[in-house]
Amino acid sequence: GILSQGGNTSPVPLPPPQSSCWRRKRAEMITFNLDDGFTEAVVRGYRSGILSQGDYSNLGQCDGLEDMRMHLAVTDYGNFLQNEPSPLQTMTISEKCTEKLVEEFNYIRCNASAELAKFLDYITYGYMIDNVILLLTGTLHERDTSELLEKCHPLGKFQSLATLAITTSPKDAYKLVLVDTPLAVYAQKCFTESQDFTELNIEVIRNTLYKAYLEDFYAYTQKLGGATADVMGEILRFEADRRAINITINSLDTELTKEGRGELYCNFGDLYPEGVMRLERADTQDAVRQAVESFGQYRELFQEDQFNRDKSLEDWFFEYEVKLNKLAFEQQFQYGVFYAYMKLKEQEVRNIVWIAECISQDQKSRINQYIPIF
Amino acid sequence: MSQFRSEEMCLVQLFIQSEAAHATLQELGKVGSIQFKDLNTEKSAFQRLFVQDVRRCDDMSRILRVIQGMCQQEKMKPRDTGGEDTAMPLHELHDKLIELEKEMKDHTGSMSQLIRQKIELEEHRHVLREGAQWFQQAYSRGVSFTAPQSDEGTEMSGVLEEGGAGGQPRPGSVLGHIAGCIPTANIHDMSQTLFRATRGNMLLKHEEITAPIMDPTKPDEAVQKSVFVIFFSGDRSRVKIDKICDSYAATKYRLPEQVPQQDEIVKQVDDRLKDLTMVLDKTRDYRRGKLEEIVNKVDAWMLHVQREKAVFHTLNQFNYDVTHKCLIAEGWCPTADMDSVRDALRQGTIRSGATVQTVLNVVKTRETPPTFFRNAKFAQGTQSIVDAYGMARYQEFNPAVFSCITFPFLFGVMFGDVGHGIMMALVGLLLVLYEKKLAYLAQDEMFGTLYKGRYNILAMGIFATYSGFIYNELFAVPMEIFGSTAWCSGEMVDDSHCMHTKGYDPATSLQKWVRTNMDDAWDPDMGSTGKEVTWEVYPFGNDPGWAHTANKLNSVNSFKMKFAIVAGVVQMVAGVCCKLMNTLYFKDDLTMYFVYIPEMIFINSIFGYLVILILLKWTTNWDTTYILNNEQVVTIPQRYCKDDLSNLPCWTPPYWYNRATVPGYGAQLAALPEHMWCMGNGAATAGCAVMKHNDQLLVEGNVFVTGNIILEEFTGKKCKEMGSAHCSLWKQSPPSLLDSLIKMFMEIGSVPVENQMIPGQGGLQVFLILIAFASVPVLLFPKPYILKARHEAMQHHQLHDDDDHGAGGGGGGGHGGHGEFDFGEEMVHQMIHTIEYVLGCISNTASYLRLWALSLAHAQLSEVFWEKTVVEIGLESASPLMLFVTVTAWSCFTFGVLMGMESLSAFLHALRLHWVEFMNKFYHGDGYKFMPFSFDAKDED
Repeated sequence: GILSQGGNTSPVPLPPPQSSCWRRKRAEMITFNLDDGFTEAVVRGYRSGILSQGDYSNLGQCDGLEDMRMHLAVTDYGNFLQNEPSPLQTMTISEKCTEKLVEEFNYIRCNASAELAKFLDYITYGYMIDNVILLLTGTLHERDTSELLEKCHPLGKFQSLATLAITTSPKDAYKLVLVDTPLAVYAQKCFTESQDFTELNIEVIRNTLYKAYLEDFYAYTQKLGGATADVMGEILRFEADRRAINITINSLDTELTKEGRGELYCNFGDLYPEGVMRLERADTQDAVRQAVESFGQYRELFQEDQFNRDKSLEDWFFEYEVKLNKLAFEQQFQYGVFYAYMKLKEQEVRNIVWIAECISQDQKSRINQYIPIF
Repeated sequence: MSQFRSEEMCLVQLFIQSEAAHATLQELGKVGSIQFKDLNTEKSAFQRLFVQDVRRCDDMSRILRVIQGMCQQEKMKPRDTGGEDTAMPLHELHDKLIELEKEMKDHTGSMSQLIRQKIELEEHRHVLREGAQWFQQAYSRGVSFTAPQSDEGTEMSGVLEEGGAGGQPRPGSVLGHIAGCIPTANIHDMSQTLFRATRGNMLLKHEEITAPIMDPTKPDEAVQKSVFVIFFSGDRSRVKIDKICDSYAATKYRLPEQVPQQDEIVKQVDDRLKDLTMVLDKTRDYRRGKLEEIVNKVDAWMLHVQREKAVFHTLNQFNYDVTHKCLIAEGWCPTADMDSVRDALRQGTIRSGATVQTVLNVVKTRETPPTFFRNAKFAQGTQSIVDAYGMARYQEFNPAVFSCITFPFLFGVMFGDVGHGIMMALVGLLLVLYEKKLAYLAQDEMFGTLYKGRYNILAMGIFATYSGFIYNELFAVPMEIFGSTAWCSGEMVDDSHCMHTKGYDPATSLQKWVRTNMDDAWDPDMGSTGKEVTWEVYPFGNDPGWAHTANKLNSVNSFKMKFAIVAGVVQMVAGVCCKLMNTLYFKDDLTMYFVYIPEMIFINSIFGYLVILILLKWTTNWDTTYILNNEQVVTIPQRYCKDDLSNLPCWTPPYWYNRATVPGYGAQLAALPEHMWCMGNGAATAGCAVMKHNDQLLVEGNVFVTGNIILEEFTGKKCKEMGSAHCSLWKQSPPSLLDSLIKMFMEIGSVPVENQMIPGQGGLQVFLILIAFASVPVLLFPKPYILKARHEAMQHHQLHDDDDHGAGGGGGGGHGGHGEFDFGEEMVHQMIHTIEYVLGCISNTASYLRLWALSLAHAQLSEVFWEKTVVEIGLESASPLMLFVTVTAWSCFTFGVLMGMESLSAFLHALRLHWVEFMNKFYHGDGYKFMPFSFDAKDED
C-alpha cells in the first residue's frame, strides 16, 4: 500500500543502447589519450597489482594473520601493515586494504578530466547510497552514530551524513540532509513520506534510490557512447538484472505487493522488459527460475543452485560480475576499466577478508570459497 | 688485469652447525664477500625456518620507528651516533623495546588526554569571551532573556560537567541557547542544516577564533575553529540542535546568560587551565627526559635490528638437513677473498662456541658466476654507466676501462669551451675535494647522481677545457693565449703590425684579411727583401684570427666534421679490437678468425681508408700542390721570394685590380689572356700562384708561357721531353673527400685527378673494395658451419667414447661446446650479426657526426648569448647599468641553458655513442651483478 502513493506513473523505457558507430569509436581512439590516457595507464598499472592465483594459494597456506601480513608485503600492497602492532585483527586488514583502494581512487579522481571525473563521481554515489541506508537502518536500531560512521565506506562519506541520525522520516531526511548531496535527484522521488522510518520502507527506499541511480548512471554511460557505452552497458545491465532477481527472491513472502515490487525494477537491463514483467508476477522460487531461464547467461544460475549448495546465488552473481569486469580490461579507450577496477578490487578485499577470517577462525577447509580474479 | 676482467668467482658450499650459523653470518656480513643463493625458492616467505626471528625484527623496527617519530615530534636529535650498543642479544632488546613502547604509549596516552582537556578549556575560554560580548550587546539593546536566572539553559560537556548543574530549561522558557566551538569549515553547512531543521526559528552567531586551535588527534596540526552561539526557542528544538551540533563535530560549552555567572566560570576555567598547564608541562618534561635517555641509542638499535634482520633473511635462504643440526649454504665468492672468508668462518665458530668447525667446499659448476669489479673510486661512475646498459658477462672485457677516458673525451669534444669546461671541472673538483663531507648527498634524489658521478664531472670538465683550447673559445670569445694571430682584419689595417701597403685603399678593397707578415715578404717599393714568407701556423688550437670572418663556420665545420669521423672510426676499431681481447682470453679461435678478422678488414678498408685520406688531406700543403697535364699531382715548393723563382707571392695581392700595374711585370701580365689572370674582374680568388723563373712569369692553372721554364725537378722527364706546349700546371684545390668516397664505389677503379692524393689510388681503392666485399661472406658463413661440424664430430665422438671431452668442448667457446645445438638458429643469429655489423659500420660512422653537430650547436649558442646580450646591447649602450643587466642575463643563460641543459645533452650523446656505437662492437652485457651479503651495503640502504 505504501508504494501506491507514488502515483501510477508507468515506467518510461530508456532508449535502447545505441549501436555505437565505428566512426565515433575511431574518433575516440584518436582523442582518448588526450584527456584520459594518463589515468587509464595508471589504472591499468593498478590492475596488474591485483593478486594472482599464486598469491591466493600462498595466502591459503598461511597459518596466521602474521603470515598473511608477511605475504601481502611482497605483493603490491607492500608495507601497508608495517606500522600495525601485533596481533593483527581481520578488521585492520580489511580497513587498510580499503584505505589503499580509496587512496588509489582519489589519485585517479584528482587526475581525471571533466567527463571521467563525472563518471568517477557516479561510482561514489553507489557508496553514498549504501552509507545513507546504513545510517538510517542503524539509527532505526538505535546504534551509536559514531560507530555507524566508522562502518561507512570512505568513498561515500559526505559532510552532513551524521545528521541523518536525527531524522525520523524520509521527508525529513530529504529536506534536512539529502537535498544538499548529489543524491538529491534520486532521493526526491522516494523520500516523500512523512511517516516514520520502518524496516520495510528503508528497504524500499534503498531499492528505489538504487534504481534511480543506476538508471541515471546507465543513461550517462550511454551518452558517453563508444566503447564506454558497450562495456559499461553490459556491466550495468547485469547489475540491474541482479537487483531485479534479488528483489524478487527477497520479497517473495513479504508484505511487499507485486506492484510495489515492479516499481523497484530498473527500466533497463537484459531482462527488461519481458523478464522483468515475468519476475513481477512470480510467486515462487520456481516462477523466478522460469522467468530468467530463457536468458542465456542466467540459465545456469538456478540449475547450479540446485545441485551445488556450497555456492550461493550471491556467489554466482559475484563470479559473473568478476567475469564481466575482467572483460572490461580487454577494451581500450573506455571508462569501463575504472569501474571494473573498483569492483574487482572490492572483490579482492572481500577475498582477503574471507581468507583472513577462515584462518583466524581455523576453518581452513572453507578457505577456497573465495572468488578468484586473475 | 682486474679492471679489464671481472673477478674470478667460485661456488662455495658451507656446512654450518646450526648453533654457529648466526655468529658466522654476522662475521660474513662484516666481510661482505659471499653472495648466497636462495636454496628455498619453492617456499614462500612465511614457511621458512627463521621466520619468527624476521618477524621479531619487523616488530622491533616498528617500535623503533614509533620512538623515532616521538623524538622527531619533540624535535630531538641524536647528539652522537657513535656509541653502538650491539652487544645486547636480540630477544633482550626486543623485551626492552616492548616495555619501552608500553611505557611511552601510556605517557603519550595520558599526555594526549591532558592536551585534549587543555584544548577544551581553551576553547571554553574563547566561547566565554566571545559569547559574553554577544550577550552584552543584546543587553545593551534592551533584549532580555525571559529564562529565569536559575535556568542556565546550557548543555554541559567535557570536564566542566561537575562545574555546575545545567538544568533543563523550564517549560515556560522562550529562548534557549547552545554555545560551543566548531571547525570553521563546517559552519556554513551546519547553519544550513540548522535553518532547515528549525524552519528558520533560530539565530546563529559565530566568530572565528584568531588563534589556531590544536587538533587533539593530530599533534602539530592546527585547525581553524569558530565560536558559535545558537539561540532558539522551544524544547524540541534543543534535542534536534544538539544532535546536529554533534554531527558537525562541534563541542558544546557552558555559557551562562548572566554576567556574574559568566565571570565565575571564567575564573574557574582560568584556574583549571593554570593547573592543567602545570601538570602538562611536568608530564611533557618527564616524557622528554625518558626520550632523551634513549634518543642516542635509537639509531644504533635500528642499525642493529636491520643487520639482524638481514642475517635472518639470509639464513632463511639456507638449506638444512633433516636433523636441523647443520645448515647448508651455497654462494658465490671471489677467489681472491677466500682467505678472509675462511677467517670469518673460523671467527664465527669460535664466537658461538660451536663444537664443529664450519666446512667450506669449493664446488665445480657450469652455472655462470656473477660479475664483480673491484673498481677504484675514479672508475665507479663510469662503471655504473656501463652497468646501466647491461652487466658484463662473467670475465668479459670491461668497456668501462676505456670509457673512463673516452667518455669525458667525447663529452669534451661536444662541450668544448674553456669557460664552461673550467666551471664544470670546478664543480667536479669541489665534489671530489669535499667528498667525505658531502657524502650525505649520495642519498639525495637529485644531487645523488651528481655526487656519484663526481669524478666523471671532473674529467668531463677537464676534457671540455682542453677541447676549448683547441677550439680556442672562452665563452665563445677567441683568445690569443698562444701568441697573437698572424692575420688581422681590414678594420685593423692601421695597426702597425698589419700589412699596410701603399696603394691599398680600404674603401675599395673587398678583402678584409691579409697576412701581417706579408710586409716582410713583399713591399712594392722596396722590392723583395729576400726573406722567405713564413707561413706560420698558430701554435696550438684554432687561429684566433678566424673570429668574425665570414667563412669561419666553413672552416670550423670542416675540421669538426672530419674530426668526428676520425674519432668515431678510431673508437669503433678499438671496439672491434676489444672483441679480439675477448676471443684471446676465452681462446675462441673461431670467433677470432671468422668474426674479428673479417670485421676488422671491412671497417678498415672503407672507413680506415677514409680516415687516412682525412689525415693526408690535413697534412698536405695545398698551396704547393699542382696538377700537371691533367694527369699527375706534383708538389712544387713555394719559394716566392727566392730570386730564381718568384718575386710575386702566390696570394696575388688583391690590392692590384689592374694587373698592368703590378710593378715590374705589368706589361707581361697584361699580355696574358684574360682567363689566365686569377683576379678576373678584380674579384678576390684564393690560391693563385704567380711565379717568376728566369724573368718569365709562371702563372698557376695555365699553360706555361714559354717552354724553357719547365724544370725537371718539378714536372718530371716526360713533360720536359714533350715540351712546354704539352705541359699545363693546374693548381689543385683540396679534393672533396665525400666526393672521393662516393666515387670510390660509383666509379670503381678510377680516381679523378683533382681528387687524387696517393699515387696509384685507383688500384688501391679497387683492392680495398674487393677485400671489404670479400670479408662479408667470410663473416657470414664459416662460423655456423664450423660449429655444426664440430657439434656433429662431438656427438660422434661421444657415441664412441663417453669419457673423453677434450677435443670438442674447449674450442666451442660460448656457443657450441655443450648442450643443444640448432644450426638454423645459429645461422640466423650470424646473419643478423653480419647485417647489423655491415650496416652498422656505415650508420654508426654517420652517427659519430653528432660530435660535430653538438659542438657546433654549443659554440653557436654560446656565441649568440654573448653577442646578443653583452656585446650588442651592453657594450654598445656604454652605460654601466645596461652592462650590468646584460651581463646578468648572459650569466643566467650561460648557467641555465649551457651549463644546465647543454651539458646534459652532450652527456646524453656521449652516453649513446658509448652504449650503441662503441659497445655493440663487442659487448654482450648479459651477466648479473655480484651482490654479496654485506652489512656495509645494507647500511647504505
